[in-house]
Amino acid sequence: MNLTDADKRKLDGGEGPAVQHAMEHLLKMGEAFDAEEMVDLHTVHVFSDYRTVGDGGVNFYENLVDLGGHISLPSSCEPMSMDRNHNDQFDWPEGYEEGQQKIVDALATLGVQPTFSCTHYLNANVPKFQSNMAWVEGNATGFANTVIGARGNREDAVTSPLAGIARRIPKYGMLDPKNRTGDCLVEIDPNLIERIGGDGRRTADYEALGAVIGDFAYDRIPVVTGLPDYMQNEELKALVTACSPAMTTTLMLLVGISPEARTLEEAFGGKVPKDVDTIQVTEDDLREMYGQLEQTTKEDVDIVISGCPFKTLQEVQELTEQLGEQKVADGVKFYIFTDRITFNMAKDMGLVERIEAAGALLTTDTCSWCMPVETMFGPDKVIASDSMKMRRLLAGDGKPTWRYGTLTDVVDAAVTGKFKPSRWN
Amino acid sequence: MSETITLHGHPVSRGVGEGEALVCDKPLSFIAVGISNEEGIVRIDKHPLNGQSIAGKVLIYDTDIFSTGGALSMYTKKTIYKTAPAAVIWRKAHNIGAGGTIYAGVPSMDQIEEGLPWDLISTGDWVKVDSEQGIVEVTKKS
Repeated sequence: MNLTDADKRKLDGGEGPAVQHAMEHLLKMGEAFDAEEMVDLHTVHVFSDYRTVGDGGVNFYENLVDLGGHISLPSSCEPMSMDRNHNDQFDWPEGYEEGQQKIVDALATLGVQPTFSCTHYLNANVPKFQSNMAWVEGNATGFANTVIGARGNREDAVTSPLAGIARRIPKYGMLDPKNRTGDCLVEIDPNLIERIGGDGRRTADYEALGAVIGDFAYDRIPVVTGLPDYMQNEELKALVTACSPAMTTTLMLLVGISPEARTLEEAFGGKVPKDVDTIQVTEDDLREMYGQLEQTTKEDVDIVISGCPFKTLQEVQELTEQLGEQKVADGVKFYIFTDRITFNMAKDMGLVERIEAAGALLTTDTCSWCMPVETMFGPDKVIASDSMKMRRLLAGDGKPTWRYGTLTDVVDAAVTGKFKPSRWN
Repeated sequence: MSETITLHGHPVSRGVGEGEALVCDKPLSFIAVGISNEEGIVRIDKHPLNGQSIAGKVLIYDTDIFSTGGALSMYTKKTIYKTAPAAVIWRKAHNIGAGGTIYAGVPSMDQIEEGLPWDLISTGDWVKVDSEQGIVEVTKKS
């Protein structure tokens, strides 16, 4: 790799042991992907949750602190394993709070902004067009690459903070503009667009559509045509959630929406390749995806979950309206996940009070993905959710069984204790 | 005597590791919710390796999927619970697998020149990954 004199100085320890440690790793990463050079980094988003990173993650962060590491770039961090405002509502395993606190403390010492959010790109750490990012989190890198045209891979939990400390990152994958063109084509049927989304339905519909696109694209960059001329941030957030549970890449080129896809030709780098692998997505595909996301036909549900990725304020308002004056059924838990910024605004608006009066819980800083679902929820539970991502990531032996539906469906399930799918039937 | 073949590939995390192969042609994630850090056992819905232990194996899969946190889950598996694989071979490396194996010191490679890794290596074969040299030695299960 061609290193600048400044890179070499960092690598030789001229800016201290933390920067040196970071550069050593970044050099190996660059070589692993045959990067020719490094570029300046503009923004960082790092991992936080103890459940995932474990004591190795604690040691990793504490070592960076011991080396004198500091992140001075705009930064943010992922949700953590706990909501300490609602400790009494959860039965955390022994040692969890201590482990999580060590990570929180280390992140604070490193200078990371305490967002504890997966949707920081909407309200806290907002990149610009062509910003270079070292971000973890699929929906966040998906949104930033796809909607904003910022540049970054779905960077891993080790490399992101190290790149933040070094303020450099190898120019590989999505950081290299020449790799940011389409590999395959997704054409959305106009009849589907006519019926998709709307109040109480947009999250589940667009997450399911994203999964259809993501399963097809897998490790390629999809170019998507036929979407509505205008899409809300919430709809786009739902669509790009597929970047992690469906596709391993993190850029969708949405023609007419993505800044690098003003036209179909531009999305393919100038010319649409002959015989490009193409799918047409119709209502049938969405119906099939809804079916595929259901693990059981059992109507009785124990837990209802909404807010993965975290809810925006608009979505908290939408949910509060869906709930209205209804109450959550006895024996059912209804968890809604958001960040602390949104929670505080929702509180000022009286939404938190209304949600709590209904018997539901709006949490901050955490989600069920960051919690040990095996022990906290248990394998015998049935969960209803409008989150495709949570459903796909939290299924398997020893884990709960899932039902998938719209927000309206899952609010109804929370109120009646029965899940009755209404969509695309 | 068992048949031995030599394959060539692209080094990702440099080092030497060997063990029994555990092979699939699907994507995989090291996140704790998918492969517990403590036990190293795969628990992912409908995954071909579901129920299998990855600890000490030469693990072969397509590429990394799911959370970017998998890199630190790998580091915890290696340094705390000794449940990490001995080495990893992918069709194509993802940043998640690359970052995790590089930092944890688990040798890894991708882009095997002779073909797709799951066509050349079977579960139970003894595999030595030398990613310093970019060479994989496979002793077929007899």
